[in-house]
Amino acid sequence: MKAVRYKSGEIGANIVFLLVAMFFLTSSFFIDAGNSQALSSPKIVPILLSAVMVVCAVLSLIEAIKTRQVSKATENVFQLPVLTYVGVFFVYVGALFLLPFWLASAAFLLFSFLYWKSLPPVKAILASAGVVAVSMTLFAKVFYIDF
Amino acid sequence: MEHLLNIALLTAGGTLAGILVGAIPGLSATMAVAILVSLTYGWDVTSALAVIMGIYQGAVFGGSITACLINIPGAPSSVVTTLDGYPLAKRGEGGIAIGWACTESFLGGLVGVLALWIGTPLIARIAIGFAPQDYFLLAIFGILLVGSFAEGSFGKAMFTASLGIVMGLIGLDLITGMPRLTFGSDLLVKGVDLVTAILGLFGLSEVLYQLYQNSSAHVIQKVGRVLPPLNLLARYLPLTLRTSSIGVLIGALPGVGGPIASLMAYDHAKRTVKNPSSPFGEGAYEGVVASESANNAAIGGAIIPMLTLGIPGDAVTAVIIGAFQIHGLRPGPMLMTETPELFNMIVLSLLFATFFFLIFGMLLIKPFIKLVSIPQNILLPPIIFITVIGAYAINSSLIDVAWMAFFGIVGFVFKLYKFPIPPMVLGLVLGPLMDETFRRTMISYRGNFGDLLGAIAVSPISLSVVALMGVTFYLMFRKTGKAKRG
Repeated sequence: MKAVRYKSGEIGANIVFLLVAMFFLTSSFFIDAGNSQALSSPKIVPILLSAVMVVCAVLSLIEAIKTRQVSKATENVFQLPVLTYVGVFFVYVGALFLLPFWLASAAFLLFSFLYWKSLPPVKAILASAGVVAVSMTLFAKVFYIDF
Repeated sequence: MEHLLNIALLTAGGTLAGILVGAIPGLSATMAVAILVSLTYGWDVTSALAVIMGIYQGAVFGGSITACLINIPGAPSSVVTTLDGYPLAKRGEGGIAIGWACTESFLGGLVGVLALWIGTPLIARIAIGFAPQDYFLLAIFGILLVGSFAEGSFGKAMFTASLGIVMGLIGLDLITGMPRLTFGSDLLVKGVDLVTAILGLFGLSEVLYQLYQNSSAHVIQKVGRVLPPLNLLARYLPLTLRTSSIGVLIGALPGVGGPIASLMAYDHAKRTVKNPSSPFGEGAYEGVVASESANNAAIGGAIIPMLTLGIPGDAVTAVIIGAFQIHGLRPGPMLMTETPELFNMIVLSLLFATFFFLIFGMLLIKPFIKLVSIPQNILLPPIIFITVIGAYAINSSLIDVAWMAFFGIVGFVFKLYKFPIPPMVLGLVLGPLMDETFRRTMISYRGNFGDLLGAIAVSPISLSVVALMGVTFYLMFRKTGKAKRG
């Protein structure tokens, strides 16, 4: 089951990479070249490299379809907690735009410690508050970062 | 004097942080330098570089601690150290294995610093005579070195390198001044910020990947004696000098770096040492001597092409180029003539770092072992937070945090499907150089490609660059061939 999910995931990822490559290739043709000659045109390198990307993406896709071996490391990725945590990280980045930096960060750290069962709740609260307070003070004083 | 003391203290802090990062499997020198480059944006360049050099030296040595105690290299350049370091630890000589790693890294580091000090001005003097086509060849050379990061698939490495180049070209075209690949967005006119991309690709993606690996390892706690016997140290000195020289030479080849240097040094030791202390692979001191002296010597070597040609010697030096850029500097031969004090400061910081990791390595082994034993699910969330602060610190902008998150996820997906990340960073660094030098060359030859090839064929410098490419590719394919043969 995991192998099937990994395989379809890899094929899906390779299709996305191919689409990205094709998008860049198409966009490169529309770069305004002005009066420049063919080989000194601002289009030349993007077109060549996007074409290389397309070829490599196609080769990688073929390889993904052909291969049957599933590595142990990548199997773990399809556990739901993994994807959920990536989603929560994006919520954290979004929350930074709405909430004070310290509040969003402390909440994210607290969630992380509880989610990964790293620490019991009380220790997790203290650790997340401590990490945020110490880090922000240190970075503000030592690295002159204005939060 | 006060400035010198300041540099020494910053280097000491960087070295200590580097050893800690290097000692934690999964966290790399590249990641630590990437985070620090963004954080030191508000500092003067000499202070920032002092800490970065400390981290670089410290992390390469730090990688050997876990290589010996857990059989997991903390840094790629310590892979070979596991071969003999871990068997030594298993038979109760973990302390002596780390002691050897520390003293040999120190000696190798000194040779590397000496080579950097002597070699850089010489190469910079030659590089001043470089024509645009030579820089173009060097950029091509750098890009093609993705093979050394291929991890099994050259196609995947080429894909990420090409993506890096194309993304590096987003923004205003340096020659025409016209926007390129900006899709009408004002956000893209400035181009992709190199440091933000590096932070996401090397920092966030690596932490996410480690969290998902959720690995735990048994750490050997009893280490015993740390200081290697002085008579053995003297006996191995000729081997140390030979393997350190290998480290410098291999490290100086752009894109090759410490891992291949330590592999070649180990191979040399195996072939030349007649009566090792134990058979190689079963706890030979000579194995640790060769690997560790070479990988730290390679640091000095890797910095030479970065400073003189603007071509990164390895992934860390690619990130250090980002540090130069955010401080408005462009590595290359002119950097050596315009700001010689910066070069002296880099040499001095590396020298300080070499002494500091010897002191820290010998005195703080036990706290390092405790730290290595802390579960990753406690250490990693705070590192994500520091990565976010790092991205924010570049311009005090949350948009940069969002970009970093984007690159972090891109890097994470790449890691899942075994698309190597260093080529993308190489592409981001070298892409604009390649584009600009190629087009300027074509403009000067009025678009005639045959004339360009003719110019390369009669220029001694261009031919030397082509020869350097040949040597490097030979070494790269030799390594691939050996890996395939097992």
